[in-house]
Amino acid sequence: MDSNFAIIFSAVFISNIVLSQFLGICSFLGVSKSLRNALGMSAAVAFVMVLASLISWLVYYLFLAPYDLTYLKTIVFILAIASLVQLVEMFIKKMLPALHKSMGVFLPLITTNCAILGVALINIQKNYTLWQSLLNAVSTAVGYTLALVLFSCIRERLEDSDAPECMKNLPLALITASCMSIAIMGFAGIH
Amino acid sequence: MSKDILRLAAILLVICGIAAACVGTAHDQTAPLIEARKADAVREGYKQVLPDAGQLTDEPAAGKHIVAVKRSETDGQTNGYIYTVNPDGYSGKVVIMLGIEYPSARISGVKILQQNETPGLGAKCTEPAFIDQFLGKDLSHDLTVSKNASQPQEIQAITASTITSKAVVKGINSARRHYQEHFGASKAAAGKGV
Amino acid sequence: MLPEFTKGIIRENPLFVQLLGVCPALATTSSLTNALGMGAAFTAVLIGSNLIISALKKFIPANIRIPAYIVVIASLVTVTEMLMNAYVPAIYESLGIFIPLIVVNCIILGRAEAFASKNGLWLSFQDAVGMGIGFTLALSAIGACREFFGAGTLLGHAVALPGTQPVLLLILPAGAFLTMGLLFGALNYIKARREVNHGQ
Repeated sequence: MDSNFAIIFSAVFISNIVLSQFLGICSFLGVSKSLRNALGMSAAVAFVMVLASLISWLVYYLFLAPYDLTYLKTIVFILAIASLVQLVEMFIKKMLPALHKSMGVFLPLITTNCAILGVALINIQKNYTLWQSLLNAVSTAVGYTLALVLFSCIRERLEDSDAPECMKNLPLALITASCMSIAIMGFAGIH
Repeated sequence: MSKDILRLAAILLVICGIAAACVGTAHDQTAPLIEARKADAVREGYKQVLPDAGQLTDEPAAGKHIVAVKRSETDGQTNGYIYTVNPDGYSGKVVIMLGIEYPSARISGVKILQQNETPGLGAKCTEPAFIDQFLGKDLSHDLTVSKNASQPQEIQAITASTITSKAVVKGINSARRHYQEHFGASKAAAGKGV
Repeated sequence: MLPEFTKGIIRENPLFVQLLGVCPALATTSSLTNALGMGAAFTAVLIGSNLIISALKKFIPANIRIPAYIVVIASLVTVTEMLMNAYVPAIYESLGIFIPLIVVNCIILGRAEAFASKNGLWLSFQDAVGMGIGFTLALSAIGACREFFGAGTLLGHAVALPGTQPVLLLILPAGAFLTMGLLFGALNYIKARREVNHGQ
């Protein structure tokens, strides 16, 4: 079985959810224009990701697997995540209105953030135990935050760069992401 | 208000129920096909690595990187073993299945079941140019990786992917050691009477 | 002619114009075969979801429409996944987790919300086919570039230019970002040129 260290290292660096698995790209490109938004989004994603992993694991092994209903997992997981996001949104709106204001439209979009459903499905696919699933979710969230924060810092500086008009914004952001992806390739091969 | 919520919940429940019923029907229709295909793929794999494979029985698998060992038998005579090994490659495990003929201890086939190596570099380990080198190799000694192989026990490394090449050879060597330890020439003589 | 059909192909292309569905566009385009497989699965789900949601639009109350759409889409995706596993196992294996992740593809929920819930069956069908083809073409463009320059093949057949080495980087994750960045840049450039010409 995968050791704890292997799970952490792989989720944060080697198979970084954004830069090597391509999950959660929409939010990655969408909120990375300023560091503040990037941090807020990362926190929200981390919170939902850990909760979603917990709930989906429990639902899968307590309700689906014993009754041979594992083929319903995609449907059940997405419904669980959608309800979870609703709850989190209501909670943040009430308790942290300032954060809610700055997150704007991005919170409801977490439902369609494939990183969340992706991690829930990967936990099942890799036969992780509950502990390993939670560890994987936390490490993946760290990897997501790392990528998003680094990326938004670079993008803030790119704003001032004298790039050709047609490359500004998205094209340049994608090429930056490409360089970051090359950088994390250096971690492969470390065990 | 509460009546309205009940109505909404009921509608949602009906939609979920119909959806689940449809998915369930689709599952019942496709599940046997998928099972049959998987079983075919496994049988096909055994045939590829050990063309003479007959009745297969599980042997206890022990040792580093060894996932499964199967003994093949035709007409009551053991004629080979199929190993599944999973050494660490460049990124993640490389799962390899190999057939060893018995009692000649030669490799009858190697198949990479799963790998996550760099496309275009390490991933070339699945190609015949690399994998066919193992065919017919005598397993009385460990195999080694070389950048320009000339000796019979040497395997030509994939260009720029030494780690992957070494991983595959390491996996095969661990199967070799298990084979020699449990079914090798000395054991074979002792085991004949049993 | 059939404006609801044609709009999705170029004018409102889901990937290149609306910037939706970026994740699968990066992850499943390391070869043209994968891109076409993903495009086909996506189109099938989109047609199904547009048709069902358009047919049910009178029965689904507005305040529970999103969960209802999600259930419909998730069921269609699960059925598609099973069919692919049974009939095209090679593509199923290589697309892996990205088949179930069609559920969270913003385009499908977006079309349900913006189009199918307001229009009839025939128009919704046209919309879905148009958007599906548009997305598949966009994926194929990226997939063909990456496979041709990155591996020297197309649909698995060797078509490398003689005397050149394929740029391996392009079929790695980094190459996905790079190809897409350059394609978006090129599209912006073409658009800007057109506007300039138009202005004169």
